[in-house]
Amino acid sequence: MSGRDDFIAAEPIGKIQLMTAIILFEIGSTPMFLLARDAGQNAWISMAVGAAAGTIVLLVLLSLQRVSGEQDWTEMLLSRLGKWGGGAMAVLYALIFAYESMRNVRDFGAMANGTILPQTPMWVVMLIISAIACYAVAKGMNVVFRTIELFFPFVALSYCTVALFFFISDLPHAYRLRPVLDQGLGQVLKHALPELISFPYGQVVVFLLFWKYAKEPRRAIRVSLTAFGLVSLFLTAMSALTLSIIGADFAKLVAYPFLEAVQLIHIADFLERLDIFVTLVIFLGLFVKLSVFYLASNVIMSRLTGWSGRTCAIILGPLIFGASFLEPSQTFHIWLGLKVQVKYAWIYQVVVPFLILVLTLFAKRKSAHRSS
Amino acid sequence: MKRSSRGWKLILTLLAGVLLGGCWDRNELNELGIISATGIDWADGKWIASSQIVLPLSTMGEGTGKQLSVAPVDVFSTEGEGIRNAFRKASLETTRKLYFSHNQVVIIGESAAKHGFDPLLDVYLRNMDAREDVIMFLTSGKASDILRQISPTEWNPGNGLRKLIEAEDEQTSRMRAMNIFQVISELLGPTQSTAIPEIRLSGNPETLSSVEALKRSKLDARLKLGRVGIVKRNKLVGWVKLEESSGMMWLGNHVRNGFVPYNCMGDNAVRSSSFRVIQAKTKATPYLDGGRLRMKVEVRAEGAIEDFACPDDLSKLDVVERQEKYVEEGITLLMEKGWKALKKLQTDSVGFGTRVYERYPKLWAKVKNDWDEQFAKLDPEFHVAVHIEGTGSSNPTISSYQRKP
Repeated sequence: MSGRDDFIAAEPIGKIQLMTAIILFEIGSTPMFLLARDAGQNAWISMAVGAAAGTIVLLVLLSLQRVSGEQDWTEMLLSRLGKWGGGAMAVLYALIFAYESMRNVRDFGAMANGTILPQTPMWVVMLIISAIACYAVAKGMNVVFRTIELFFPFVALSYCTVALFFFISDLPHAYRLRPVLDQGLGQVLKHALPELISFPYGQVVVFLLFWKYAKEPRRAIRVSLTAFGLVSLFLTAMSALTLSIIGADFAKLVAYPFLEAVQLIHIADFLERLDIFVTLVIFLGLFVKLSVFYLASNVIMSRLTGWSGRTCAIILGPLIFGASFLEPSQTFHIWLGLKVQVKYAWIYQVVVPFLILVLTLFAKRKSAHRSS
Repeated sequence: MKRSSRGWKLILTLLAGVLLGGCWDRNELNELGIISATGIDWADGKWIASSQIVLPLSTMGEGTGKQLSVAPVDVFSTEGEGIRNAFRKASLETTRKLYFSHNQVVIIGESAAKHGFDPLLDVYLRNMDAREDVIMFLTSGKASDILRQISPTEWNPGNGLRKLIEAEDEQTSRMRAMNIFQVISELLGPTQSTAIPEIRLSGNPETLSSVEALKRSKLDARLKLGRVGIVKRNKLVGWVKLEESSGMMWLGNHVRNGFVPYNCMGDNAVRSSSFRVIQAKTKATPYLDGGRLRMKVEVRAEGAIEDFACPDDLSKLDVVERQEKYVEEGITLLMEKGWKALKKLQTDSVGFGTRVYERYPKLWAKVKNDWDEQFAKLDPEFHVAVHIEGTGSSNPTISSYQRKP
């Protein structure tokens, strides 16, 4: 049951595309929130711990890709768990990824509503962004990756500029990060795992769908690790920077700590109110995340059903958009994210791939025994 | 096939552009009442919110030299049981939508400050259009009186007030410019106290409310900075004088540029000489002295002598060294004054508690509940080191030169 490969990816994904995709995907909307903020001024250490754990997860995923050879996640599931077991699991994954995409659509709408377009109805914004994502995904994997590659310089430049402005405005103060580890490593670990794997580090599991289509598999491994390392450094640094500007107590009070920090930038009496500028960059991150999840779901569906990527996109798009209305309120959305998804997502991100890895290794050993 | 789909794409793109560009959210400039300063008072169980709207017709630039026949600002006061409520009631009187994003200054009247102004801080945190870098002022009396004053040099009085305190903070460092973010941070921090400058009217208040005032060159009344209000847990607990505030700036490591009056004879009599500070750093270190908590305050300052009232010859090194000692005494005197004032009010608004928390977290957990009393017992020791970089462009003083045979 090998689906229409040429329809999924007309040409292999380049190194840079893979790198920028992983980086922008992992960054996503993360800088906006201060993750692990219950750890107080040590939240950035939690981020570092989470990143380290995430790297281990990535290594597991990459070795799974390596031993499975020319297979993407759907094919792996089908070969290990059989037609029905694997199929069911794959459908489950398609639904999970579609849900994740829907979460980002909802976040997009909520953020637009809250910051820049308070009177435009949320469904209008979400419809437009879903339609754009649908268009991109329908055009194929290469289009999506190319778009992400195009975004990268802008996003990188923006974050660098904002960091520069922070320092010019003399905003970060190291004393706000003290006392370091006042309640010991335990407190930091408690808030890091497993929450930080579920969001954002473990979400890299999505790339199990894409690594097959990368140019050179061995290079892909190195590229992915480098990208992940860079992102980990970036996210940890951003966390520390935000904390050193606004302080732990303030960060616990407000919804968007990074935004508060950016609002404090005042340079030469005219560079003020840069929060809009930063919101734009977060929007790009959200879009990358939602497109990638959407694409992943699309690839699974296309491979299972044998339909073209375009057809599946047109089916999935409205589904994702429509699903965003199933949540009754913003509070529910946040509750679902914080209390449910973050607590259990690591199961589908880490445990299942690990099991499949074990199964694959067993199967390989069996066939090696048989041939010897 | 291709041509019709291209048309559709164009239409859809334009539609998306219109919707996302914010046409649904448009704010027309001539429908907005741009507020440049706000004030809060408390009377009879209700909040009184005052807003100062800038009238765009009069904002034709600062140097036009045209005589204004209309006052450039308009002030409304409305009352309500909640703060946001009070502000919204202003819409009953005004034709424009109140736009707070350009608000530069918020003034809190004494009654509101003594009652506790945390509802105000909460409103600022919760709303997206209220920025947290608005400068805060306290005033004895009513905030609405301050808002009604027009300043001749600034067509936008809110902006003028902001520049007033920022200049003070940066150039003379006798008090700090406090914006809402800093106030909230300090009120949330370990010491839960802060200090907010006072703005007041001096002179005859009647003159400043009318446009006639702008036609005269010497004003009978001015807006000026006065004392500093000490705030503990969202309530005003007392006022300190300018010199005490100066000392507090030194204690809290907030001095950027400033001047220290000192006595060049070293007898602390009349402090007629002045030392200009170029760089200053204060380090407050808590330490345990046999189980008792004490604070060591070390100051390093660099600067130049800008006003010298003694006949000594400043070109001699030993004279300069002696002057350094006298300046050190001058700084210590300021810090002692600041310390005494804070001790009397039993409020730690200079961050000593934060230092204890950073150095001895476990000890802090034990003392933080009665920190106010512990703070008053601290008995800090002051170590000041001053380095005089230069003594100005002239030496010796005129009168000492005249005395030479």
